[in-house]
Amino acid sequence: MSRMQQVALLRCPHCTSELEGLSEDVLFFCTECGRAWTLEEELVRTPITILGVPASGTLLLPFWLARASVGVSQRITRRRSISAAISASRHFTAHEERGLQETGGHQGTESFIIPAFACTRALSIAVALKRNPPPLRRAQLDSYPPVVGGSVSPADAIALAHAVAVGAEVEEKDFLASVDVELEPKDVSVLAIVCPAGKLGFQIDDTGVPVTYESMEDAADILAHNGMEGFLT
Amino acid sequence: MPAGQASIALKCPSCGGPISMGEGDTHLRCPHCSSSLILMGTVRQYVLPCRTGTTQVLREVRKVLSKSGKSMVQQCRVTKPNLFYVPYWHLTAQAHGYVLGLEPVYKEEDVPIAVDERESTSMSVMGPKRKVKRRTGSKAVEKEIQLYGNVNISAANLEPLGIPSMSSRAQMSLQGIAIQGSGLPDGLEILDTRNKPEGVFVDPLVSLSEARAEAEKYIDGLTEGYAQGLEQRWKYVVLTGRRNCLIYYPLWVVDFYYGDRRYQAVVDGTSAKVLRGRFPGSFSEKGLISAAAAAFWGVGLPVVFDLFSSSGLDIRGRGFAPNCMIMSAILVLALAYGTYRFVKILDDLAGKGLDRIV
Repeated sequence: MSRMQQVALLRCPHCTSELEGLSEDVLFFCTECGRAWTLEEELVRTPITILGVPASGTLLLPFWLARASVGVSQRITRRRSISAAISASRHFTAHEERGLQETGGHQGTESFIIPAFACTRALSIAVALKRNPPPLRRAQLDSYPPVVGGSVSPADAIALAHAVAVGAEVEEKDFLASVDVELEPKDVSVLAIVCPAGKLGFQIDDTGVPVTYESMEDAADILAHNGMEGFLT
Repeated sequence: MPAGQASIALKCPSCGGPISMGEGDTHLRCPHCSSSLILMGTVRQYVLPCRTGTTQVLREVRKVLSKSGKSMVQQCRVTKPNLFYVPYWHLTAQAHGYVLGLEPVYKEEDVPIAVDERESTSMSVMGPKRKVKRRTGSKAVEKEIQLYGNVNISAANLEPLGIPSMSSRAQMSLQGIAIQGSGLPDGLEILDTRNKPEGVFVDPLVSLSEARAEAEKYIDGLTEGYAQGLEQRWKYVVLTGRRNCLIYYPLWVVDFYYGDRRYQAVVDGTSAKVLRGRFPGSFSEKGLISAAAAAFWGVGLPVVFDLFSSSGLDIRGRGFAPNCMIMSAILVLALAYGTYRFVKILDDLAGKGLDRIV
């Protein structure tokens, strides 16, 4: 049933430099050669794109970029309010509710940007990034700054991408009653995005999407690792 | 370390120094040589070290036995305790999703309370008013779900020992045991399968996939709170950040004999507290039952003999008539059967009903 557990030295499989990360990270970035590694049964190389160069008061936060084929069907919406005084059933039953409409579905390849750091608001942040994604411009770097806090696995990123696809339908201006969303992942890579730090949290550069310290499980450790403890007062 | 998180001890592969890792941690720096370390392995197994020895366990069992009477301890033959490490799955996950539905809308109205016309001296039926809520419709609701859940699931059936199993529907175990609800006991250590501590490690009969299914059921149940009060509800939930580990918990099982009856007690290996067991009933209780039985025969027998000798049962007014003999025979048979039942009840009570269950 189980393999023997062992403690091993954490080194970059490419250049053997020590890898750094927080205690629950599964994503590690080598500041020597710029390669990213994901811990599964062993360290697996993962493509990474660094968007921007961090300046004073900013740092790089890890995100997963998941591309997938998405199919939305049986999208049923309801009216904002119903004047019927009779109780309805507990679970959604289409024929029991008046005013339901089935709107058109769609299909296509979409990209999802999912926080790779543990965050209670991961879903709403990812939905906001879906609406307003950052420009994917690879930065030219002379050296590699640290990228820590990646404790969300690629499998979880795909699961969250599915939730984001549902969330994107919920966020539409109508009132959703039910929807069927199918998602088939194509590939997953890492984005390191510059995020300026403020009093209450970070802001994802070029998007205006906020990430509060309160919602991040590792905010203090991430700031400390980047020498920015002073932001968390 | 946050409250409720266990600290696990292990050794640095670089310098051999002791280091401490939190449950769920995959990476840290050795505090002695600063080497960057990573924990590899599919299923993490932890063990809660046993902090009690056989002497302490026997002392606790004898303490409970002495409550049945001072001579009970001498009369019972206690065998050597056996240490078992019983498995529990500990699983955590984060739930994200949405719940859609209809929320009923109510309107408060002042409604006059009906007055009994017979009591009223007036033709009017208007009385004092009271506020009632009347449903007027419903409004569409869309809520986001965000929830962190953790759960302990029994990996082996301990019901024969009297210890309830923990599952998605039952999250409370015996009072006194350190694994309760979703919490983790303090002092967990990584289990080195090559150098296991002494004791019998019970194989987990519940697989990881079965435990995960139970955990997901439990956490999904927790998300139902977001849908409370909604009708026509549609829920979508994904679980991420799944972490799991197997925890071995030490329990001592002690067999002892009272007469020819065998009893068993389960003692916690960390606190030495007697968690569960059946202990013989006290002598005073048996004495009372015996006295009651003796009183019954002491009264019943003379009555039977009196009836038999005084022809009290003779309906024709003649002693030793056939009908009197038949009635007397029936009475004697009834008393004999009663005697048999009494002895059996007394025996059963001595075995079970008078026993104390901890």
